[in-house]
Amino acid sequence: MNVLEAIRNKRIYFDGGMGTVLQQKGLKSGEKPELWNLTHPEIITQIHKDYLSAGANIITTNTFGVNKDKFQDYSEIIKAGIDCAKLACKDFEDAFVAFDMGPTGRLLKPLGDLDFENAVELFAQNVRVAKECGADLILIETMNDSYETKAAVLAAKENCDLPIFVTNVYDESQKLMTGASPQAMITMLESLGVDAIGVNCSLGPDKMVDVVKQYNEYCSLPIIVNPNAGLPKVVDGKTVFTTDAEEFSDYMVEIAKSGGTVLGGCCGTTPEYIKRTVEKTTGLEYTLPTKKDFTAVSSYTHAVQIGKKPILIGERINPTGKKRLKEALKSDDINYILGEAVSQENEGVHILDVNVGLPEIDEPKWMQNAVYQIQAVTDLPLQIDTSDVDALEKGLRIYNGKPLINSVNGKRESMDAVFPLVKKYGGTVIALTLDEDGIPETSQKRVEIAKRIIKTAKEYGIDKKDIIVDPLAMTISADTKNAVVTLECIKELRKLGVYTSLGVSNISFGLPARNVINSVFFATALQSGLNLAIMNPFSKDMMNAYFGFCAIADLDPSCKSFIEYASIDDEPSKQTQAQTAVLDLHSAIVKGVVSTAIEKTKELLCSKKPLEIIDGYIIPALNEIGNDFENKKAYLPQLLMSAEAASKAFDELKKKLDLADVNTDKKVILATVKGDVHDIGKNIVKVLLESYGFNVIDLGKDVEPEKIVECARENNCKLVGLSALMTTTVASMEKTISLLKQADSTITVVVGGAVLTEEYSKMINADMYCPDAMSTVRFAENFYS
Amino acid sequence: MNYYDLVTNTVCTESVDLNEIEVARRMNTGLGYSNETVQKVNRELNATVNYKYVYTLVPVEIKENYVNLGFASVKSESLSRNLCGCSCAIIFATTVGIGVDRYLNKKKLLSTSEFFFADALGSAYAESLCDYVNQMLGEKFNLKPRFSPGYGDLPLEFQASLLKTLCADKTIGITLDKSFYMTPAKSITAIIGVL
Repeated sequence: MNVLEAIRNKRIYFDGGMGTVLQQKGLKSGEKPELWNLTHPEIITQIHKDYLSAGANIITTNTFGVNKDKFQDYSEIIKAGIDCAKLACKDFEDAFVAFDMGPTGRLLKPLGDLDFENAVELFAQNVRVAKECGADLILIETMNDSYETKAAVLAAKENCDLPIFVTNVYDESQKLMTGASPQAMITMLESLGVDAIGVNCSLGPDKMVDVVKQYNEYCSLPIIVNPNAGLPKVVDGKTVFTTDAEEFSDYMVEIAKSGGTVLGGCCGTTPEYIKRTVEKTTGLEYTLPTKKDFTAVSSYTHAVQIGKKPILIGERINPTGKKRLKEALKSDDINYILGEAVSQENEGVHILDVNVGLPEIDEPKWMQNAVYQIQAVTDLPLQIDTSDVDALEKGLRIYNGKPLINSVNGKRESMDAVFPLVKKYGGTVIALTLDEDGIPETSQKRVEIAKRIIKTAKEYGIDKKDIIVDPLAMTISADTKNAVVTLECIKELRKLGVYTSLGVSNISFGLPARNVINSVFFATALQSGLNLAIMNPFSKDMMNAYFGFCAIADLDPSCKSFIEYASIDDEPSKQTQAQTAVLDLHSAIVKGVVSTAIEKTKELLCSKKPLEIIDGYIIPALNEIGNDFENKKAYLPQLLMSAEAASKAFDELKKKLDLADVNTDKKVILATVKGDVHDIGKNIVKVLLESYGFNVIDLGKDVEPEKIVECARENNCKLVGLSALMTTTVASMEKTISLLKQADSTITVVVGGAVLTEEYSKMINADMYCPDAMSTVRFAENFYS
Repeated sequence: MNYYDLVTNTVCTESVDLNEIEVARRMNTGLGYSNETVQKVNRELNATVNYKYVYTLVPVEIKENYVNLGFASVKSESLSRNLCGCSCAIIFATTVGIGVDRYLNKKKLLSTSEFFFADALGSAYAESLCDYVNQMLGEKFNLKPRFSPGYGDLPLEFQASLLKTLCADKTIGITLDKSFYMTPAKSITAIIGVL
């Protein structure tokens, strides 16, 4: 019998803590427990046997902290650990060896410093050894970050076909350390196709009951619960715990009654804890969680459930018909895209569509980068929208959660390409009702395609609940029956229990006053049962339709959302109008009001040439605030805001300027030196220099000296600015300066940063020390005059 | 209180008064300076804050500039001076939570000035929480001034053993990266001598 069959038949048990027991057996503080697999295998085997005798069925190998990063001989340690566990199991029936994988101990980017793919590889190396040595299952445990959890699961899926069990650690606010709710984790992990999930470690069994209840509410898989023996504390270098075996097992009874299926212990628990737990819970009624039938997608913090209130998907990150976005994609301008992501979130959408398909660009690379970067600025779930299978895979892989996927269609080729990826990476997929014969004209035929797609998905092991059908909105300017057919189709699909999605604005293509048609169609589609809409959240008509519909359809308790929406509606624009009326470009920059600076630049461009605006408004304004700063009449924040307003005004001008008009000769290279990751000062200097029209080449932080030398040579740039914040990195600044001077003695190096002084800068042979951003600008102006 | 008993808790945002001097210092402004953007950033940042702390009591033994805190011994002249006359000390860690890191990452990509404000305010929030915990402890113990790794000759690396003793990864979610930087970034560890 394998472990999954065993779980189906009866309640089975995990073992308890290893570290605590090892300490009792003489493991010293600071000594690595995993090394005992090699040095004291008989003790490890005995501990496993003690747990099996106490009633545990699954024993976890003593490999929690092993990976190639920490142990050169990781594979020997793993092999020895699995050997101990297998040896212990020999004399017991229904005993299984779980290969134990804990977190790497490092946080993944963007919060930490570990690359997602490096994390996958660290876990993959372990899994390959475990498979080779004959483990019965992979246990991924004590994970406090959803991204790292996904990395470990992918590594397991890609390198073995053993059952995968996953347990996460929740704190008292019932979130993972990096913010995921139980529902977010359940949604992602079920979709990744693991076999059992649950909770472990944390602060003790009493604090876990509520989380287990949430698992029972949302989860269809067996639920594992392995708590600590209460709160830890360190005494004489040893960790001890506050809850004894009696109290622990009483809580485990409550946990079993709340839905915990597979029970065991974590830090601080011993065979005694497991024995009592087994005694008290074997007699309890045993049921597996029921299959939950709701559809959800998730981000790294929360899940969005589909089918209750209609869901809005922001459509702005899609280059079709959007000139500015096309430009951004072609010029690698990720910041524009991130700005669009955040402003749509502010408008209240629930999911963001991400489509970066342009013939001229490397779409897979762009998709991967866009998904990664957008995740750093918003925690909304994403809809990965592409017809390029490679781009789809890149996006799905790097995504932290369970995404929405747009799209598959009724063509065999499409289904055969998309469904395996959905199965591997998880996701809910939008199915377009078209096939080899095109888009059917009748609603009946579109429903037939939908049914066929759902059936094929099932053959790939993808549940009906993860298929959302898009019955296609076609413009009524081509055929006035189009909207009616689509609406009928929505109603039909609703009867079949299938959720629907639409790209709403297609309905009005080719017509004037498109907002009128779009918003009326949107409201009618919602009334027909539409569940998701890909739409423009900046369209007031569309948002009116949405909030109005939710209020009248009894989807908005006490009309709360509607009242909120109606009250904030006009305020910001009134404020901006008032400001725009009073300020001209000069004072907008001095006061640092970005929106007005942009507005006024556009107005001035109707009557003046870009260079007149630069010389007549922007530079004088910057000089005014710059002088105020130097004379201590203005503070650094004011200077920064002015610089940003000026930069935005410049951006407007650049759209009108020939590149030849801009003085691109005034180059400055900026870098924070090797070993230093503090770049706030350098970034302030950058913004200010750019606002004065300098061409800044920003090499970022922690930059190798050789890279700076190389960049100066390539760009033939004679002015380099270096920044360092820590005393320890000034040495690396000195080295950089010496290399630069060796390579080209005509290069001028200006330095700044918290630890530097005039005197210090002379010692390391810098040409100039600038105490603040403004003085750097003055120096650069002189340098190029 | 017994040695090594961990006390951990969350603090609601409203209970902590923002240290205005710290705000002015971090933003490089005069006391009380503000503007609409700063206020907006402050509102947004405030919504992401999740204050937590953990502390415990440890024994102190000082011999020839070596300070033995029970869980670790460290050579530091400045810490020896700071803890002079104490037979025990409080060690603690505080954090404003990972939500602030996420908010800072977002601002860093979108606006240099807003990032600057958020970073400065985030540091001020962290200091304010530290002051709050310090004051709360002061009601229970007779305390000397607090001291953190990185001050004087106490190495930053000492952070690792402090965090380990406080089980800070489990209790309040602080991890260290390879260069001994803490995540969440706006976290503080400290040692306070008890007289």
